[in-house]
Amino acid sequence: MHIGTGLLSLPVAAGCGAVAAGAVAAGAARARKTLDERMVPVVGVMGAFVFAAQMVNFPVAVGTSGHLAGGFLLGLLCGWAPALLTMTALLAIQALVFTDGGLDALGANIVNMGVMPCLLGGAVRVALARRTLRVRVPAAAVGAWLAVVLGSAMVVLEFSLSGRLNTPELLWGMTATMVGVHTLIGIVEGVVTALVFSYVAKSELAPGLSGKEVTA
Amino acid sequence: MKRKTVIVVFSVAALAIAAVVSFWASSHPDGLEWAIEKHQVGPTGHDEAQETAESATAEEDAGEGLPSPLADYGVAGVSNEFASNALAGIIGSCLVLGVMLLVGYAVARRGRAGSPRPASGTEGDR
Repeated sequence: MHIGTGLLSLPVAAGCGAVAAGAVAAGAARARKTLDERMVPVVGVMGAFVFAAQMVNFPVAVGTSGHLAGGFLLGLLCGWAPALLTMTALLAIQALVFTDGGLDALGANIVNMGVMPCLLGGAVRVALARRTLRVRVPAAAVGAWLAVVLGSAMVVLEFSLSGRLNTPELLWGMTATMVGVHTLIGIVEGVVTALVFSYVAKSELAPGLSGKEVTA
Repeated sequence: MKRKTVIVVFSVAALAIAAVVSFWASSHPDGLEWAIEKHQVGPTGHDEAQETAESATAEEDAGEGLPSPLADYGVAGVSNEFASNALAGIIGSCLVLGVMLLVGYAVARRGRAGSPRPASGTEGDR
């Protein structure tokens, strides 16, 4: 779901860049207060894992494919702030080193695949911290699915604001295609997120995962 | 399961996925690229953003970013496709890990194990 070069108008690219910059600054401030030093290697390794998982495109409908996004998973596991810093680093590396996603669209890509899903994952993490895994695992699946579908709708919105979807047919056609495909991609995201979460949730990984202490 | 187990398990998983599994990734365009093609909302020919000085080199890779030796998850100069993909995956995973170790330790609380967290969990965390 990486937006490539030259697709967004300057105001949209700059606006998304400003939102992303603000969110990352807030995330850094938050992480300064809550991120435990012992968690740093875990966050880094989970980031590397998400990078690797993003390389694996799986076929969806005829002629298209999808891959894991991972922002919701990181938010759920690490809290929104470390998750957002990780997704920002990951997306910047993809754009700069692997030409995946345009540099001009980096802000938008951070908003769509970082800010929104990380906040959503962090919210589910905190809201359900004291529930049993029987509640939290399905919630992880549904939340991850929602993050992907919502992200695809945000891409359409950004395209629309950039003046690329100027006829109603184009706007609704693009909306239907994007949300439709990502409804399917999101199912895989949901299943993988639930699997990883249910595996990690039994560990002493994050204080919050055992339900004792939760910091977003 | 210990924290260290998690670190080891996901390190191994990341490397295995990046270096091996990703080789068999679908080469179909992803959902967004596919939708862009289907509805033809992409940059048509020479769009404003592509009229840069490098447009000559960028042409073969229309719509994408700056040239890089690791462009499109391959290593320039490595002819074996499997090796090229695996190297790119390993380098990328290590880059993410490395950057997050730097950022994480720069940002993380100095507090050690045993030092109480400042009232977390009771302050109504968001």
